[in-house]
Amino acid sequence: MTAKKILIVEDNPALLRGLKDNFQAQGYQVRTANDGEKGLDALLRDPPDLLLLDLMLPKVNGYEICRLARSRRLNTPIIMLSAKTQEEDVVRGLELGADDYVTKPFGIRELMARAKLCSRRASVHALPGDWHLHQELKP
Amino acid sequence: MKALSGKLSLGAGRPSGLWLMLLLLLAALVPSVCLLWFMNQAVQNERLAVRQRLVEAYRVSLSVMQNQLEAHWRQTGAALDAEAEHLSAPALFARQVRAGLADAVICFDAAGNVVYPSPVSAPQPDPLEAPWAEAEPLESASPVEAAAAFARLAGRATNVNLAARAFQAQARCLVKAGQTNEAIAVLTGPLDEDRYRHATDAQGRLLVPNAELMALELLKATAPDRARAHLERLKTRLLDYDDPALSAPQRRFLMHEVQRLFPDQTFSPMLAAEDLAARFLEAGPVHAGEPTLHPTALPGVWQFASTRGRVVTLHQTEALLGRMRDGIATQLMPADVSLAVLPPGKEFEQSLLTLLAGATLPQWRLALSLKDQGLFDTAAKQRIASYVWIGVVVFATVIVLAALALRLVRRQTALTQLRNDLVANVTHELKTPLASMRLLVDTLLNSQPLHEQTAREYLQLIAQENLRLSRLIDNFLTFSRMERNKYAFGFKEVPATAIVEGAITAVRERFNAPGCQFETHIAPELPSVVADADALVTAVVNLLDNAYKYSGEEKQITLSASAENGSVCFAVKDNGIGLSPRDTKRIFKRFFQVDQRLSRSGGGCGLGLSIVKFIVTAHHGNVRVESQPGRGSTFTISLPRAEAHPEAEGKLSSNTD
Repeated sequence: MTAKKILIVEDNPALLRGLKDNFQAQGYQVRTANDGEKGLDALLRDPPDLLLLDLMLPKVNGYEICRLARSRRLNTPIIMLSAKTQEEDVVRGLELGADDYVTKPFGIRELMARAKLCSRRASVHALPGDWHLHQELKP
Repeated sequence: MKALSGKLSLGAGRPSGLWLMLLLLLAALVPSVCLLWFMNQAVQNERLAVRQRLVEAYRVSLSVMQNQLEAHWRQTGAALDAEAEHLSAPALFARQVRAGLADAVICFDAAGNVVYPSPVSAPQPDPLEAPWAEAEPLESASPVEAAAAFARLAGRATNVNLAARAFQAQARCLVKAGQTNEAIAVLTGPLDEDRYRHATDAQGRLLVPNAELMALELLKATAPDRARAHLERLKTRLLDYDDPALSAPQRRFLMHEVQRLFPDQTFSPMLAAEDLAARFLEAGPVHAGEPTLHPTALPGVWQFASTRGRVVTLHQTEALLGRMRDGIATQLMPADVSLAVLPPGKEFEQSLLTLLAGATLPQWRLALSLKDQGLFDTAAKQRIASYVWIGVVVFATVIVLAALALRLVRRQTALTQLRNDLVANVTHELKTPLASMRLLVDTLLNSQPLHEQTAREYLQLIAQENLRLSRLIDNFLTFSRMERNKYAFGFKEVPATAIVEGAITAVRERFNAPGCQFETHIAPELPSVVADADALVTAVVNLLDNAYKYSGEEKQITLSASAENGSVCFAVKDNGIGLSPRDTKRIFKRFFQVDQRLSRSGGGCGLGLSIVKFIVTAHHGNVRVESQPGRGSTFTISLPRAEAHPEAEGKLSSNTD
């Protein structure tokens, strides 16, 4: 089995470094970008298995990246990272096509668990006849 | 849907603002509408009030006139009685009519019988002598013989009346016989003698005037020149009211006859008066009654009795109104009104005020009317104009105040919005360093075994994040104090180099990173400044932070300090994104950020420059910016040097020791 590819777009260098090290330690193949432009570029050039996306980014913000990705029929699972905890911010993120929304500050183990869940769901989706499962997962 | 959800978060604060504007609009509108209503009412009331004031003012004048009129009629009543005492009835009649005081007069005696104009004259039954019986039958058969017989009778007559009657009969017979000249000779000869002056016929009528009329009639046909002389004599006789012998009916008859013969002759106003009196007497029984003016059986004729009832004067309505006007001293009347006396039943529409005329004039009324009907308007206009002006001023004031309030509210709303944004920003800015620190610490704690190189790097990152967090909190606190005007500066004389060095120390570690070229140019022998060193370092560091934040990959940042024209300048130059001319005007305002997306990268909340401005202004300095979009910006703080500083003498002397 090949290593899962993950793209992390985050402009805070300390956070970026911490995330990168942790995901690498878990066997992910990690790529990073420190602004929206580079992040979008990397995403479109080689779609990863999972996208970890900060929202407040220089040049192109996270919402915009998410919207563009979904409008190009890219169904990479996306986990949004944001300091905004308001319900409407979360709802907005999810409506734009994010699979999950994690608020800062977060525990790294929780984030890892959510990342695993997202990528597993994505692989199930990829199977033919996933319609039943999709129904089951709905609340 | 996506766009809508985005707007939802922004729109949360809007409805209350809208309501507030609506409320303000209402607050301006309602008083304005009320004001208009009040003004309208006031204007209407003003017309009424002016009218009321005028009425009050004129009521007094009108009652004075009423009294005058009353007095006038009472005097008239008394005067008539007094005249009746010493004037004969015809003389009184003539005097009143000629003086225009009455259209006709009826005089009574003490018993209440009419004295003048008496309806009948007293008959004079003189016994006819025998030859009259012979002469009279001849008159129609043989006028010439009859004339001779009457002439003889006249010569023999012992009674003046009979003689005169004989002469008259002789003349009549001569006319019948066609001997006109002889008849004229008889009429103007013997009959003209003075002793026949008061001779009367059997009915008590004077003979001579009748004879004169006959002569006049004859002369008119034969000798018009002589007729004129006789006419004058007859007129004089008819108009002589001092002679009581001529009865009123005869006088009236003769006057009419003369007018018939000579249409150019008039007996105005006496004939009209005689006619009126006669008609009045014919109309019914006459009694004086109360001394008041009341209507008679004749339409348009009024009667007024004297106080004791000896005299009744008759008045035609038109003439009566004139007499009443004459009775009122019009000089007492205000110039801008006219007075009308109204008979019973007559209405006067334009009257301002009416009043009953008084006891002597039952049901008569006095009416005052304005000569200038626009008087109300002109009087009310001035007041109305002042009301309108006041209204306009108040209205304008309300509008202006409302506009000001609206502006204030909108500004406040915008500020509140910005402040809300700030809270969100602050939360974000505080949480990001916290998140990275927690992540790094957790990672360190979880990793078994601890790799020393990695641990060191992590700790350095944590230290940087920590520093950033501290600076952020410092800025928020400064801003908070600044907002509440609670910031206390501790001014001291500080060398300018100390400020620059403080700022370099604060940023050195960060600016020494790869991709950042940081230069400093410090002029030698910089003067010192009076400053709160910590605050000033914060200001310069904020500028450096901005330069770092808004510059791209290859940062070139220069900090320079120099002395210029008595002030010290600290300039921070970068090669960042720059500012448009429009933005350069706004950047020192609170919460303003050129690019919201950038705020995340450098850890700003749009507070930095407003803090810089606040600090520099407190130091009596100024901060300016020169910038070109895409090429970079230069921010310059200039402060007065220590000896030029306004607080150098007072505050310093106590602080420096």
